[in-house]
Amino acid sequence: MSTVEIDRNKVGGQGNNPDLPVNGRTRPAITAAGLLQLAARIGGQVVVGLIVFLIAFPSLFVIYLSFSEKSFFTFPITAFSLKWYQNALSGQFLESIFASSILALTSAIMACVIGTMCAYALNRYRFWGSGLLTNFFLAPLALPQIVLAIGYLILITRLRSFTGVNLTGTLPGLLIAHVLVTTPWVIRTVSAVLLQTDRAIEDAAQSLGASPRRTFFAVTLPAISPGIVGGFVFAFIISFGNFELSLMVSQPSFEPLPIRIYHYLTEKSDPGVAAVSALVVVFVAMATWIIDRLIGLQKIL
Amino acid sequence: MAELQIENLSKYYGGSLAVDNLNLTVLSGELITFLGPSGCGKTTSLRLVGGFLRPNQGIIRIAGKIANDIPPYKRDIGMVFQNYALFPHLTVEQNVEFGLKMRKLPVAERKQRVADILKLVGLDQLAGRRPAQLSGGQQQRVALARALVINPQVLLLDEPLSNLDARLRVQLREDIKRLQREFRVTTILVTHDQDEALSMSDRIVVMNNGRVEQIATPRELYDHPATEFVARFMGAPNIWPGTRLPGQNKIRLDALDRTVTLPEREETPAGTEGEDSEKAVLVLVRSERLQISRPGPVTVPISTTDSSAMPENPAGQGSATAVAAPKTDASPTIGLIQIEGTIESFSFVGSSTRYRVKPVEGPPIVADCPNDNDQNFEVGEMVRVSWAIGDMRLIENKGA
Repeated sequence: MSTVEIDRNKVGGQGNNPDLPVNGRTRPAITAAGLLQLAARIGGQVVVGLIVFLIAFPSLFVIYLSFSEKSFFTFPITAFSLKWYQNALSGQFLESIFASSILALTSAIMACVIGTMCAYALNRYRFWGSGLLTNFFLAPLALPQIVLAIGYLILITRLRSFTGVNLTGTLPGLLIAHVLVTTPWVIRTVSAVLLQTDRAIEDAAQSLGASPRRTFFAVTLPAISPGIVGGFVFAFIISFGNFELSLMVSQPSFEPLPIRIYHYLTEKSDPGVAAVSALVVVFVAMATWIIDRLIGLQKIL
Repeated sequence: MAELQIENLSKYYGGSLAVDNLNLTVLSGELITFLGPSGCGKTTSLRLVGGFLRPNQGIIRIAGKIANDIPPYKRDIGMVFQNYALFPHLTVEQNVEFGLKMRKLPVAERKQRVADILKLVGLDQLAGRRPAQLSGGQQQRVALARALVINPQVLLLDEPLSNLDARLRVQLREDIKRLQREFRVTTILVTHDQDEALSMSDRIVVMNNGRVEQIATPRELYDHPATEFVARFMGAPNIWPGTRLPGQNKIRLDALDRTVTLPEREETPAGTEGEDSEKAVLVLVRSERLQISRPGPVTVPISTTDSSAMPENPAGQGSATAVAAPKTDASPTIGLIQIEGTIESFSFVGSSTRYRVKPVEGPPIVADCPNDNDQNFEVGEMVRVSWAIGDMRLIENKGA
């Protein structure tokens, strides 16, 4: 990093210095303006490189540390080892990876069904309050998760005291919480695809004899399926990594991975956490790559 | 294949009338065009016929049966859309097959009919492609095949050619017309392109602000526009206000400061004859009916500044207002109107050249002259514009 910085200063300094052999006969091709331009270009590339580095650094660093063989964090690592991965893929961590996967899968499927229906209704019908409802559905994307989590916790404890229905610390309670935060992502992706889909294909299907129900399943659903798939992957990632809501409603017998990591870190700090985190990073990167392949991220973000 | 009747059809959105009391009978196998600018109600009318909208008032009958309460998927209509509206996830073949599948026809018959119609539209080689792999023209032919293969009672075409480039448009126009004849399917075409309407239609319904301005055959519409709107929409540049003088068959061309005696004609579109009071009219001369010549000694030039001296000859039917036609004129028995002016501008459009001539007084006159001789005029040149009195059309002046 530092060497690059020096490079930039060197080139920039040259460009800014009019006393360099600009007018000299030996090197007539180099002018002050040309050097300045070069400096600006290299400077720009350095800035971009820095930004990419800063974004990727924490993840890369965690992955790096996860290969340590010591039972505490050292930098640099003394020897390469996969033992923490073995640790991550066994016992409590594996249990939590499994729990999180089940939870993410279930809530993503539910979010897809609910989100697709919401998106379809909001895009195809204009009814009283539909604009407000659109914003309302997308609010969980903007609100801090902790606000939602506290609200949800208060809601379900009140629910218990008023109706006797107990959701606190139960699986259904956890699932509802996750559907709550993942559904907006599905609404978002499906809406984006719906907006790009020509409504006339639905009219065409009807003119050809397909009932509205048939039209939806034979024409609309296939046409918006990229949005649903994209929404599913997003919902899965969001649910898999959710911390705040899980913290409020989860129970020790079914502990999602982020909660497990949190509890683990409160007791000890070893590269085991790094190995688990590295696995999550790789998993999320793969999922993102899949979305991009399927529909293109720029379309839905 | 089926007659379509529209009676007192109205549709309003909020307070504004989209379609105002439309009455129309489309004969079996006829191609009717709804023509008008955007927002004139033509697409709304089409969607009412298709069942995608419900009318606020009026009756739609397909083959004598009231269709108002029949949903689109039971109405037996074929529809072609501006953006093709092909199903993106299905192949060409599957797109065309869709309607037959919905009708639960046996597979063998489905395949046969799909193959037949794809051959007919010249796309049998592309049956396995997806819509995204086809050009716009090919996509629209798939859409046409998809709509026709179900043998609909009525075919609705919603601006089917608007998204295609000019050359393809002309070609597909002919293809559509050919298929429509072959299938003898009752068809409504919606377009804002008057050339398209003129070349394809049996009859044209010109619409404006939700109302019908005129229903006529293309020739009638072109030759005898009923209203100023129709005349202007059909691209007539020379429309001048005039006054019909009481008791006689005389028109004062206010803008050009002339008085003209019209030849006796059976039908006069505007107003009844022999009325006592003066009546404001519009006078229309189509630009291709005008001739431009260099003012020569053959004819007696009539200066526009001396228009009050314009002679009126009540005896002669044709040669009433103007001088005798020059020898070169094709119909020398018909009287001519001649006006002198200078060429203001011109544009060459291949088979003809469009000149704008500014008379000494009055608005510019637009003349389309065929480029079949070497007679070209330059900007600034003094010329004489002439036309036969019989080529003038009267339109009621609603604005006055």
